Amino acid sequence: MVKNQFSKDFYKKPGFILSLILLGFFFREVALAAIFPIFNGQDESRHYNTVQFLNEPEEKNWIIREKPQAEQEKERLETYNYSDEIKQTAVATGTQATRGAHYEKMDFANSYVGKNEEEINMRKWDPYNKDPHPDTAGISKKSLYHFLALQIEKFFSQESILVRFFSIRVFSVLLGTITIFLFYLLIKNTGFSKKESLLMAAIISFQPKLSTYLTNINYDALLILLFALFALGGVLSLKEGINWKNLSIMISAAILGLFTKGTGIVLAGVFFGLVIYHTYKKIKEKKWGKRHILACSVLIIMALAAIHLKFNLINLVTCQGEGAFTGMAASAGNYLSSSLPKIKSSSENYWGNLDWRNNNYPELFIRIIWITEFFALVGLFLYFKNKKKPDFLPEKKYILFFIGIIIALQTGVRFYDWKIYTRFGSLELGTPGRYFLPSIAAHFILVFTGIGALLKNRNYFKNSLIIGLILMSMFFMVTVLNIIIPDYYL
Amino acid sequence: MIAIRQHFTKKSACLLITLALFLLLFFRFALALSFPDTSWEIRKDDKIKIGVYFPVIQKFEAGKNNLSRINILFGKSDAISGKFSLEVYDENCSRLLREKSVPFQTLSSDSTYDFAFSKIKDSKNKTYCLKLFFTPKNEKMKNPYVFIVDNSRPENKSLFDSGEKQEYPGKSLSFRPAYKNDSWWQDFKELDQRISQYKPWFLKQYYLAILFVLAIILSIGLVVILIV
Repeated sequence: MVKNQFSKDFYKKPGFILSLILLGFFFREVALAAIFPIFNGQDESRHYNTVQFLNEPEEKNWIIREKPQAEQEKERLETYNYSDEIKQTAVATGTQATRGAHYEKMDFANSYVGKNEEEINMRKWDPYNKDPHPDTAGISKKSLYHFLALQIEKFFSQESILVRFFSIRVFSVLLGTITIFLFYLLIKNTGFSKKESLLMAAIISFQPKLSTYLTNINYDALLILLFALFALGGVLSLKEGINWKNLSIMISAAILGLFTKGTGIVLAGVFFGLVIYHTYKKIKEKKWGKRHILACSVLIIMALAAIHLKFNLINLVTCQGEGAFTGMAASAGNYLSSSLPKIKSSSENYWGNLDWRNNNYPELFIRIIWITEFFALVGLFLYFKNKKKPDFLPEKKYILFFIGIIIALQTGVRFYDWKIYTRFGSLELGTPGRYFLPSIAAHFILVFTGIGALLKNRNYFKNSLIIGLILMSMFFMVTVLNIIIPDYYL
Repeated sequence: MIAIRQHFTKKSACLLITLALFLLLFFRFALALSFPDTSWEIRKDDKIKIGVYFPVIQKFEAGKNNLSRINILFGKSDAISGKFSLEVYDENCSRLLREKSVPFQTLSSDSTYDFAFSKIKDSKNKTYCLKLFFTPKNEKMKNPYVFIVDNSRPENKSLFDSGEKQEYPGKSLSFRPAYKNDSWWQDFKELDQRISQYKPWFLKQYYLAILFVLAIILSIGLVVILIV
């Protein structure tokens, strides 16, 4: 009887369940990392080439070709300005088939070893870029993600590219696992109970696009973690008031975010918003005087100056040259007419690459999701309209903070997309759904708060989370078993 | 006591339904697991129309036992909807062995349409006659296209358009047969083999299999514990 009680209590403990969420996520993700063939992640070949480029000796004592070997073709990585090792490995592994149309398949051997695998493991090809203007990702020399991935590349430098490449994928998975943990802390500190927080963290961990994206070699794996860390700092500041602990969490997340990817600048914007909010609150409570306001203002100006030195803020927010203002207005109009029709596909591929196969399962799940989000929106409207909120839901300040993060990210991504549009005259970058994954926790918190506001009953709310977990885990399994595995292997 | 019983019943029901759904998912995956013969190339060399009452007839020799699926590539169209029906006959096109219909709303030419059926056990080196029909959603719709390719291999026996009454020597449908193994265990082993290729040692063979098993157990275990 005592032993049964102990067993019963043990599996209900939040610590145990959290460990299960994190372990389950980790193993699921590593399995997914194995399912995706080499170079098949989003922009993965470019990011891996960035790591190899950073690993090259300072002195390039090999011949750099005067011009690229071939004109670039999307499916053929050997036509990109990548290292010889990446190019030859792409040819040897049949990457053209896996990146091409969905009816193309790799040429499989009848064994556990690919037809050209031994040749790849012989390491005959130089991991050096020999074409002019190597194809690297973003702020390659200063991206924190690439710097960390570089250490793994160096550590396994004597191993085959297969070991190095997939080890870096496992590193991305590790970052993802930490992110899920941060999501749990974030949700719990927003005011949900431990059980509800575990349910929501588990639901997010099964989100198909997030799951597949976090297996890739891509700096977004670190950016999503830093967004979660920043949001946690922000929530703690709203909960406890601003103190050195939550200030240092937010500042370090924002700075590391800036050193990871340009999108990190969004965190700086949200941070300033929070500083203004806290300053206003302190003034209202008569806890801060003029010297505090002066100190804050000086800090903000210093931070803006530091960001300007890195990003050239003036260039970032304006168009240059004659007729710039009218040009901006016209360009904004053209941009909106080009990009607005793509919002539907962007919100679809936020959930996964669901159009790979000719079946209707994904459409069914997407419809359920959109209907749920519609009701959540109605719920959020009621939540803000009513003076009194259900006691199991977070306070309004947290919800406003999450709305702020989402708006900031949407604005930042679309603004940058517009800047590229003005430069090239077309949607060269676009706004695929994955660009909005950094605010996924905020998104889910808003959805479930809206649902909770409609249901008004704690038990019903918990049951809705359980249903959400069942559906999301099913959605994930359908994506892997019905779409991803058949696409590559069957 | 009654409340506890009711509570227990609801949770149990939810748990049972969830486990049943997971089982169904994996069972369907195991059933659908079959491996295309990639020596049959799928390309877009040319295309022919599929008539409403006149099938396109493809004869081919199966390379393995347990023929269980035919994947076919069709031409893209947003304006056609209906269903394709594939009938599998013996060599003389007289004895119907299997049939499968696949409905569609629009046609994509980026991936194949898969006609899966219960496996034909002793299919190796036997010739089969495939009849491909189209049934439109409404009579006014145009006819869809199916891709055909140059195919001089001896396993490609013939391609005949019964609508146009035209033979296409040296050509075949842009299609691929797929085969299962003798047991589901061998199917999973072959899948493990395919995924293991071009992976490092720690993501191959037994390591990969253990990883998958752990991932499934932990994931389902988590859902169960959170329901309970």
